[in-house]
Formats: sequence, C-alpha cells, structure tokens
Amino acid sequence: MFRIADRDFQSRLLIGTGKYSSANVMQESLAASGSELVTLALKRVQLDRPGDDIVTPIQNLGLQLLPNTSGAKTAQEAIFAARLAREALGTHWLKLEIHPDPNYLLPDPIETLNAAEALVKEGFTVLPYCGADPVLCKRLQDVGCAAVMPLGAPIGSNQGLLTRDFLRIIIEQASVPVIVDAGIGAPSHAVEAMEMGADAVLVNTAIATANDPVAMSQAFRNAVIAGRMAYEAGLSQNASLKATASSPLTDFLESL
Amino acid sequence: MRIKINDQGLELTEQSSLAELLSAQNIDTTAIAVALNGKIMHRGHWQQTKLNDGDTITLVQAVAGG
Repeated sequence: MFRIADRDFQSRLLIGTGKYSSANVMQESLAASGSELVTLALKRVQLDRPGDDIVTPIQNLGLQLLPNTSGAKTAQEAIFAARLAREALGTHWLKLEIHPDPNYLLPDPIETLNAAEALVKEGFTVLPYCGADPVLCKRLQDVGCAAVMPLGAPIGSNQGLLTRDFLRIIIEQASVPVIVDAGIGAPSHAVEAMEMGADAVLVNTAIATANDPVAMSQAFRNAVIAGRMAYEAGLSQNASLKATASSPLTDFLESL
Repeated sequence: MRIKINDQGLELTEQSSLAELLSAQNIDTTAIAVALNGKIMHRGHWQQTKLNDGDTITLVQAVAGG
C-alpha cells in the first residue's frame, strides 16, 4: 500500500487511457491492471462530432480519475486547463504536464514549477510530469506537489529507463512518492523502476498498443508487484564478473 | 445575436441561457466544462447565465489520454 496526499492505494500501477483501439478494450485492460488511478485528457468539444462519454465507465470500475493538462504549453494554459478539469470531472487531483516541444514532448521545467506552485495554492493535488532532474524534483516537492513523476524516456517511446541514474538520485532524495512516468515500454522496465524503489509507475502506450492489451495489463500488474516485492526484500548486492558458487563444488568428489 | 463556441460561429435567434444553448446543441454534459469569455462557469450557474452578442464560449470534455 502507498499513499499520495490523503489517499491510500493498493496498486502501484497507474494507467493512461490513450491510444486504445476501443472503449471496451480500454475498460477490460483497466480492470485487468488492478490500477486505481487513471489518467484522462481534456479536449475541446467538436459540436458536429461530440466524443463518447469516457468517464462513466471508468467511474463504474471504482477508479479515481487523474485528469492531465496535456496540450498546455505554458503555466498559464496549464492553470486554465486544470480549472476546467476540476469543473468537468469534480476532482482536484491533477497530472500537471506542460510540454511545448512537439517532437520529444519533453516537459518545460520552469513553466511546470511555476504552474505547480500556483495550483497547489488553489487547492489542487498536483502530480507533475517532469524531467528526471533531482534538483527540479526537490523544488516541485518544496512547493507542495503530492508526488513527482519523472520520465524514464520520452512519452510513448517505449525505450525504458534511459534516465535510470538520475531516477536513483530522485528516489533517494524524495519525501513524496516518485512515480516513474513515460518511456516504460515493457514489464521488465516497470520491474526495474520498482526494484530501484520507485513508489509507482504510470503506463499507457506499452499496454494500449500491445497485441493483446488486456493480457499486457496483467503482465504489468504482476511486474509491478514483483518489482516492489524485490525492493522490499532487498536485492543481493553480490554483483561481480567473477562467479561465486551457490552450491558446494568439491567436497564429495574428493572422497571418491 | 452571434456567439462563438470553440472558434465556431453560431447565430442565435433569441436570447438564451448557457444551459439552453448546451441543450439545443445536444451536448452531453456529463463530464464537460464551460468557460465564458475566458471565465470558467460553474455547472450550477449555467441556468442563470444569459448569453450576449459576441460572447466566446470554450467547451471541453474529458477524453482518453495518458
């Protein structure tokens, strides 16, 4: 179990709802993942083509909503998006994301910090998507963010934990939960993050675009559990190029 | 009277409220938020908010996203 702000969660797997082939597959995947915290985005309504209601099925599963501010390029836009999200979904929980760069979708640290500070003052529970910068994560924590969400690799790139050395420092220093977000492309990546001591991971593309998203959800669920168990068990520090026998090798042969 | 919703122009023949406009446009209001001229309008105020010529409305809804 772990806690973000005033809420306890059994599952350490957060799921994004983007890129699924259908609403049904998304729903089944969410259920299979065991996740309790699910991200959503906001979009302008197209009057001639209104979208389906995505919220009710998620709420029917009993999951908590975590709207994001995707699309915001500045702190000002993100703050406006956050207020709209609170109004639309009736939650003050927010995944703050500000990424002005369309190629790599890397988060703008200065705008993110400014927006985070303002939104915390407005009563939001802010979970910022950010670079794997230990100094920035400390600053985000200091302005009152409920967690930090450093990236493993660019969004949707499935490259795994390219930032692993910095994630280690962030985990070592943080006093709020560290949720590794973005870049996790396989259950093995999730295991690595959890073994390192991350409190949780957020996965979207790797599940939604798998051949069988429902089965992949279960794979991630198990991976996160295994990684956390390993972290709590304490990994053996015995790593070297030289072999060390785990069975007695010679005694009984000598007696022959 | 002419207003704009999400940058799309719309002609209204008679004075109407925000709630009446959303209803006339068949908008599912389950998980939407509305801003009028940049100011977010709380759901409870839609009924009493009258629209004026030149108003700009931002209408957003929750969609899938990561």
